[in-house]
Amino acid sequence: MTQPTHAITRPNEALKHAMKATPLVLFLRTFFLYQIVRFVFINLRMLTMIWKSHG
Amino acid sequence: MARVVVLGAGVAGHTAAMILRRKLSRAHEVVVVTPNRLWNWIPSNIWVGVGLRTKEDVTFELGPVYARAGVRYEQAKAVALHPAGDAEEPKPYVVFERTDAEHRGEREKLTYDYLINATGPKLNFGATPGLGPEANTHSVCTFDHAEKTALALGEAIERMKKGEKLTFLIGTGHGTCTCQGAAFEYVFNLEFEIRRAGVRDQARIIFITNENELGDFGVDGMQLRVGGYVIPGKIFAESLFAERGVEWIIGAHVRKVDPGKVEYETLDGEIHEQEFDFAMLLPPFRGADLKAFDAEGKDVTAELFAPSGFMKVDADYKPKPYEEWRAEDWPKTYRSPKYPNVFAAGIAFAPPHAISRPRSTKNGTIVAPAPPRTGMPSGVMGRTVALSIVELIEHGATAKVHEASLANMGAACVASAGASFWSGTAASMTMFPVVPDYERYPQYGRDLGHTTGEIGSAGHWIKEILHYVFLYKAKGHPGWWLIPE
Repeated sequence: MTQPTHAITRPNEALKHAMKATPLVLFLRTFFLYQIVRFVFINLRMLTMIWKSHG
Repeated sequence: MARVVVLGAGVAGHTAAMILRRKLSRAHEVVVVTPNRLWNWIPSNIWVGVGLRTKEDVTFELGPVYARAGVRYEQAKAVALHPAGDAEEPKPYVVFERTDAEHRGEREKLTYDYLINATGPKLNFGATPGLGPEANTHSVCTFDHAEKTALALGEAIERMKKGEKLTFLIGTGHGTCTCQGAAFEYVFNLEFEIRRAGVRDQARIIFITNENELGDFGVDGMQLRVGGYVIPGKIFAESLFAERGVEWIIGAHVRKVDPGKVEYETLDGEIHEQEFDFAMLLPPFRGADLKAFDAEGKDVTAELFAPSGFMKVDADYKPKPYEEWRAEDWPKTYRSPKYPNVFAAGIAFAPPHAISRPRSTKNGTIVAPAPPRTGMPSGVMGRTVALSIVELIEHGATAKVHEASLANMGAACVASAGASFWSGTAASMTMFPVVPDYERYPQYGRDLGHTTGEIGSAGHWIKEILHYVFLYKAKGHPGWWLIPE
């Protein structure tokens, strides 16, 4: 067992240090046309993974 | 004629039973013994838990499906294995106890030629005093739990609409929990629904987890290639929590839950308290606690099962320090080394060790996320074990059995972060392999070309589609076998 090197022991401690998405990234997450393209890519990626894992 | 008995009808057991029935001639018998009347697509329980789906949406009756497929179905709970038979019955057999209303408690023997233990997890709420729907917290582990949780959430939202400020605590209820992904999904769906109800300002939402960092998920986290860098998944996980204003506590072991208050210990050994108005905390898992006996009736449970109640298979269970863990420690065939006609698939097999580095607090309390074996890997294991048994029945004991090590298997996972066609999102993740292999991939343990993650509406659409596709497959509708696990 390893002892901890750091510990976040109270909620809210690390919230302010987290990376934040830019407004453009947030917009693209639900922008229909962009997500249609991502839908195709993600499906291809997942199909590749399924193919690899079904040996 | 051979009889194959499958214990359990979750993802692994149901997949195995359906494939066995499809591949074996009708001269052979496939029997499923499961205490449940209903099959449950568990990933969608998250949506039941926030009131967006009902029990009927995520379940179906197993009896008619097995009747149509030609699988014998016993609604019963396995209680004991006699893998070498006994003085009265020379064949190996299992003892089960019926759970249907008419015959509840009646015990019977069922002999087998091959056995698949796919009993899944026992929800060990008892590990933490005050944990669970019978005590002070909610759960989404079963559809019944999830429905009650949705009712409580609805009441909480009504209270906030009347002006009350409430604290929501979501996460893992013990230091050894697994399935952090489910807690991750639930906290984001809950936040999404509270925001949709227009009362987000009234809610303080806290995520508590036994993970050493957000995004660990019990698989030692993921490294992702982004913008010319390789970045820990933790960075992205933290950003998702931060942008939703969800606070987090990591490396936490929940010691006890009183009404409206948890007591938890963190890795620095400090004991803390957190008050809550609504808590959904997942329990740790145990094996189904089956007993095993040899031909003389001697209890050999410890030979077949690990202390956790999960079944030992072809893994290397020799205790060794984290630095010496190897990918080849993990099982490939899921076959019992002691009884070669017995297999364990899905959550029912005992992992040789954790995937994430285990830690302990200064007081010695273990805080170690257990490795996940659910979803796609569970289905692949069920399929692999079924195909092996088909080979053994058709070509004899020397036939080559199939392999599917988690160290050579990837996983595709879609974690919902809010359910709505236009504004909902989900994190779509792939990783290869599930168990990091530092000999094949020395730097990161995984193939970064196949270890990916992104969040967006596309993920939510995929999650919605998977809900219908997997229910279709599980119901054994035409062409079900074309749909991969």
